[in-house]
Amino acid sequence: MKNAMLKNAFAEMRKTKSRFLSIFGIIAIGTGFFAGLLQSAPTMKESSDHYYDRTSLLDYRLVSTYGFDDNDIKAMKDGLSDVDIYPGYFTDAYVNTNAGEKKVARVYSLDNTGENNPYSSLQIIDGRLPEKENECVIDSSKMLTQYKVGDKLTLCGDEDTDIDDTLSVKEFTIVGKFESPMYISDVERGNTTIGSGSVYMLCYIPQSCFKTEVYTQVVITSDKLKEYNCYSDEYENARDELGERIQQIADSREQGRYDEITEEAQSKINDGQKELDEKKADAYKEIDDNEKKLSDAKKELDDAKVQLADGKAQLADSKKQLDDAKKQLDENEPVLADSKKQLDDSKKQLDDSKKLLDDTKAQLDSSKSQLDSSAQQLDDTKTQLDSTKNQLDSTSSQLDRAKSQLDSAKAQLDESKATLDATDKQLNDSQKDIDNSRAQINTAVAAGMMTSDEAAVKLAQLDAAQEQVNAGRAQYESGLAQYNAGLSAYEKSKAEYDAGYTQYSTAKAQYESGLARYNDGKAQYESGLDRYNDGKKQYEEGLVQYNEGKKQYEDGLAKYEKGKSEYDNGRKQYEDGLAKYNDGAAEYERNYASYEDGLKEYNDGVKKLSDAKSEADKEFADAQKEIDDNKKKLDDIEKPEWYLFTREDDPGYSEYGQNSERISNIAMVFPLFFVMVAALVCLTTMTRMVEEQRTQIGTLKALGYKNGSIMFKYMFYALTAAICGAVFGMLVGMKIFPAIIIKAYAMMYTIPDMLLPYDFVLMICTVAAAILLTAVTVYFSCSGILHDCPATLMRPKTPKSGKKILLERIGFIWNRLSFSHKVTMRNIFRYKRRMLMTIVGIAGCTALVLTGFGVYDSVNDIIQKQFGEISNYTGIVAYGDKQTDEQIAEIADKLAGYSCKGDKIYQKQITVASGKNSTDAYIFGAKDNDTITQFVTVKDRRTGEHYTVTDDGVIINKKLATLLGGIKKGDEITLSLSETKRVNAKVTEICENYAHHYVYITENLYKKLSGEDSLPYNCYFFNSDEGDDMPESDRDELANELMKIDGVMGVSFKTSVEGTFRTMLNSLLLVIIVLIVSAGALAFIVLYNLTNININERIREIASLKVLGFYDKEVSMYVFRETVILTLIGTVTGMVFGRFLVDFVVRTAEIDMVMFGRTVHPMSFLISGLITICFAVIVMLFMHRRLMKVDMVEALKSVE
Amino acid sequence: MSFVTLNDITKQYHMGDIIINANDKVSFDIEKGEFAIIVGPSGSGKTTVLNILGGMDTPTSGSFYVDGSKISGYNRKELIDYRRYDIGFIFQFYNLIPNLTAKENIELSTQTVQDYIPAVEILEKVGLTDRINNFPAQLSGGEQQRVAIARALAKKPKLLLCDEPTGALDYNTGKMILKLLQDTCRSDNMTVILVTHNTAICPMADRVIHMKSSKVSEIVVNEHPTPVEEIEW
Repeated sequence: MKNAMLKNAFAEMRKTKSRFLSIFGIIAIGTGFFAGLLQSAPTMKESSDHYYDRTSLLDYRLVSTYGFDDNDIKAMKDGLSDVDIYPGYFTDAYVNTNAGEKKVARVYSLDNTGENNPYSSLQIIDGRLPEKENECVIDSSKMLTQYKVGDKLTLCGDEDTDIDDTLSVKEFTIVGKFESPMYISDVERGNTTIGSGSVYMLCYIPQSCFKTEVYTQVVITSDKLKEYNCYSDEYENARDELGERIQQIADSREQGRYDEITEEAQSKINDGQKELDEKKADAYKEIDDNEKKLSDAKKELDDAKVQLADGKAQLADSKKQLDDAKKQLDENEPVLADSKKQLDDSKKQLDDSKKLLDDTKAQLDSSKSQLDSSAQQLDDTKTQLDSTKNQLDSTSSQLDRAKSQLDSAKAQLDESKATLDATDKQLNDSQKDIDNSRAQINTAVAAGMMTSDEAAVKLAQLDAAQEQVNAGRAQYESGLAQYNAGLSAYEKSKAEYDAGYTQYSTAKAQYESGLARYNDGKAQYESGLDRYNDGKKQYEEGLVQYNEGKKQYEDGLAKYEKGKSEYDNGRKQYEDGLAKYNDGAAEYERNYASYEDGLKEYNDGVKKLSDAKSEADKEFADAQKEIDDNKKKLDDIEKPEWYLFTREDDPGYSEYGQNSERISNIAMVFPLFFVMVAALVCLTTMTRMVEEQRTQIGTLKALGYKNGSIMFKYMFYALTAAICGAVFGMLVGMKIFPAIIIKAYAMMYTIPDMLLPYDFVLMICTVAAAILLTAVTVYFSCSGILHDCPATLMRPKTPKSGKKILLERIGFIWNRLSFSHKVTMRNIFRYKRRMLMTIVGIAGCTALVLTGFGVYDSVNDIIQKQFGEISNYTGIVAYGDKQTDEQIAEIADKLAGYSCKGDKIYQKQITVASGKNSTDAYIFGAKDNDTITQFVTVKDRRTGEHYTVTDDGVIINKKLATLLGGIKKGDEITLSLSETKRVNAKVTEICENYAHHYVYITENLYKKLSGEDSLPYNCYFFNSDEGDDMPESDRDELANELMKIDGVMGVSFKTSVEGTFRTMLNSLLLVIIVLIVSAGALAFIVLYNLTNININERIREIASLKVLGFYDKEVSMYVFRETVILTLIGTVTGMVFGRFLVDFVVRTAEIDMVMFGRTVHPMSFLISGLITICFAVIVMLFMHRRLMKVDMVEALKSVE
Repeated sequence: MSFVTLNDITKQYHMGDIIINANDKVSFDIEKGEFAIIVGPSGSGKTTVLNILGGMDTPTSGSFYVDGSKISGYNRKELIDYRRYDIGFIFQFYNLIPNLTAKENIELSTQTVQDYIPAVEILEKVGLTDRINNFPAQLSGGEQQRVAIARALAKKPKLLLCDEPTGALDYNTGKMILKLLQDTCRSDNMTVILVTHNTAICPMADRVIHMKSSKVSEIVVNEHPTPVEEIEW
């Protein structure tokens, strides 16, 4: 029977995969979240416990006001044989950072001798442990990244802390970096009494570097205590038990040590008194000796004084003589100079004359030679002229002869001409006759008057005549040619003659002009010769005058030279005298000076002696007083006190424990929410399934199956899904969530070990819870239907009948709704369970998202409030508490140069306690309220009322008050002003502050409480006129200048502190992402599941709408309109719920150092609402596709 | 062309490797204002024809025309419009929205069209004036079917398709519903196509289409249909 049911169930699973998976999914998410978050806190503790045990973290650390001597150690070793005891050293020193700041390093000794030594369990993560004296290891904090392995590290002290007494080596090479279980916090390194009060660096050096006589600390570890989980009560009880045993030893040793010290001191005082008495006697004897020596010296000095006076008179005489001589010399000097000048002038004149004479002579000589050459020239000219005259005369006679020849030739020619002309005429006549005769013959022939013979005889005659004429003509012609030749010869000779004549005339004219010139030249020469003779005469006279002048000058010069040599001798004598005088005077001065020195020495001696005397008196009195004081002190000497520190005093140790508690708080709330939703989803799904199979159940019942076996199928179905989901969810969730959380905390704590164990008890419980939850829901979904009789079940389920809803009775609302809205309203109220579930799911989603943003807002706000409203200062200059007023004035001056002004403040990290609670806080002391409020706003968080810091008590911040167990106005708290000084102070007000804790105190109150006579100011707060807008470059410059002032250890600006803070808080983003992602998953599953069921249940209705011709959009809107309304309602509800959740989460998630804000911004409400709606829209889009695919025919098929 | 014309309508379903013919070349004509009955045994494919005619299903092949429009080949959107404006559908199990009153069920349908008969008027016509504000669960089967008819008629369809409207009703109520349908057909000249396996009511129809094994086996045209009152079965 069961087999059949089982088969049925498996078949069902295959058929309805999506339903199976939706149960599987929601259970997986629920259990994953639940188990994962529950596992986180134990995981954190387990991991840290493993780390502490593995590295043998100390259980007790002992410090004594007097240190521990060998007796103390021995007493401990004897009294506590079951634990390991490691004596060692520590001290605080300064290191200089790269930025030039002076920071505090806590230096521990590292003893390599013992096995299992807690020191050797330092976790070296880089490099190695020190092996030599000048090697060290430092911690691997993020703040120390500037130091690298291999760097040098120099430790130094200040006026207060002289580490020369403590350390033999001060220069170290960093050979490694370590993590220490003692310092798991990444930012806190504990408190110190020097510097700013907080430790910056941890440093381990070889033990041999310490010079201190007694051990400064003792570390105790117990193997037995390792058996307990570190943050458990068992551990604390066992540890306290051990503490009591240590305290007993402490009590006895405190007394024992006191006795030892007092005895030793008493004997020292006695020795001191004896020594003082001896020294006193010696000292006074020496003083007497010195007095005698001084009086001798005085006498010598007086003698010397007389001698000096004589010498001075002699010197005065010499001086007078020298002055006279000097006067004479001075008078002679100008006379000599005048003579010299006159002589020079004469010389110059003479030279000028000489030159003039020489010039004249030269001129004369040249004139003479010129004249001579002129005479010669004139003679030559004369000779030439004479010869020319002769030539001219001969030429003239020649010309005359030629003239007469020419004339006769002319006459001959003319005669020849006439003869020729006559001949010509004769010839011409003869010719004419011949011609006539010839013509007559010819005519006669023609006329016949004459026969041809006759004519021929006649013609022969004529030809002979003609021949005669021709011969005459030839004779004529040659005669004419002769004539013409004679004529041209004549004309040529005539031209020659004319040219010769012209030449002759020209030469004659030249000759005449040359003659005239010669005559002129001759006259000139004669006048030149006269002038030369005059010049020569004048020159000879000048020469005689010059020779006379020259002789006079030479006489004058000789006289002058003589006078000059006399004067020079005089001058030399004077100078010798003066030199001698000066030597004498210098000697006198020297003697006088040595006399004065002697006198001064004497006077000093006298004064010194009297000083020495009074000093000795004082010194001895002081020494006596010291001895007396010591005697008195010995009476006052306090008993040494041992302080026992536990792991809780390690910075970060208890905070880490508290953080894991917080996680488990949160782990309780969120998963519960998921489990609730899972139950609802499961219930709806199963109800739907059972109803779908109504007929089948009816059939089975009719076949006689019992209710139990029918329910078994559904139980099996749901439980299989649930168990698979739970196991899967756990396996994933228990790995993922603790890992995320530990990673988030790794930003603040160094716990290198990470254990992610499966906690089987938790797993079994979770699976059991999942089974129970599912079983109950299955039972509820089946029980109704199983009670019906088979017949009813065989019939289709009467659809849930419609009925009027309450809203319909409110006519004025109902009537205003559109038809579709009415339908929607009715549908919403038809399925109340689904309505509720949708609202819860959506509200949960909104609440989760809002929580994410709210937490972010809270954190963001405090940065704004803390650094914008509360901390008003611009920066801080830190200096040692031995700063002089001048140095402080220098700081103020420098600041004024950058328009900053400020005031002295005492700020130091101290431990504040009240009853069992204690925590670290900054004490913030200043002269009065006005000074404090200049830099910080002291006001109430809610009302904003400003408080006044008075001399009556301190003001602390709200979070500090809470941490100290709810301190109220008027309560008292304990302030540890130093390790050994604890005072009680009244709290007058509680003020607003978010980052760190502050105890505001006035100078007067501090003086009253501490008994000190002033507030040990150690820093200088300042405000810039520009506020935080001061440019970066100015800041750097200012910081640099300030760092140069002696004693200044560091300069910090508020904005950089703010920056660090912001980075640290960014880890919260991770939480937000986890929340939003899970909220998304939640919303999606719930909405998807519900809408899916909704569609399935109403598939016929939807198909009907489609048959009626509803468009796809209309169909979807018909279904979704209710989802939209429910989503909106859920979102609003979620915002309200989320607001409370934010408060809860913020309160639990806060770390001790910080107080988060409590406001959620409207924007966050808006965004979380939008994100939720976004999820809803995505689901609806999915479903819209499904609705489109609904097959009408299939859905409306007649029910079988 | 007739008011409704089917040409070789074939509908095939794939069941794994087997092909099942729900309709095999079904062809017939129906004139406007006729009261047609498609009759045949279970599984003969009559409901499939009706679904195809109603635009709820599409034929694998073949074509059909309503009032001159070729409906086969319409896309999804056109089919919705066809259902919305042209078709009134009546089911065996009424398919009223349980969450709405009689009047609201009708309004749900009429709100999608412009030309409709007001809910009160149509309910009066089907004789349900006094049950206007009752939810389906508060009505008897016959009353519910009358609401369904009213819902189909309210939007003045061209074609009234009825799938075994009397199948879930007792004899008298069934008769009453058939009368309502026949009256509507006669008085409003409404074309009504009714699917049934009950051959006894065939005489009331103008045209009877017999189906057998997915095919039309015979079409009988009654020249003188018998009034419902006179039919007994």
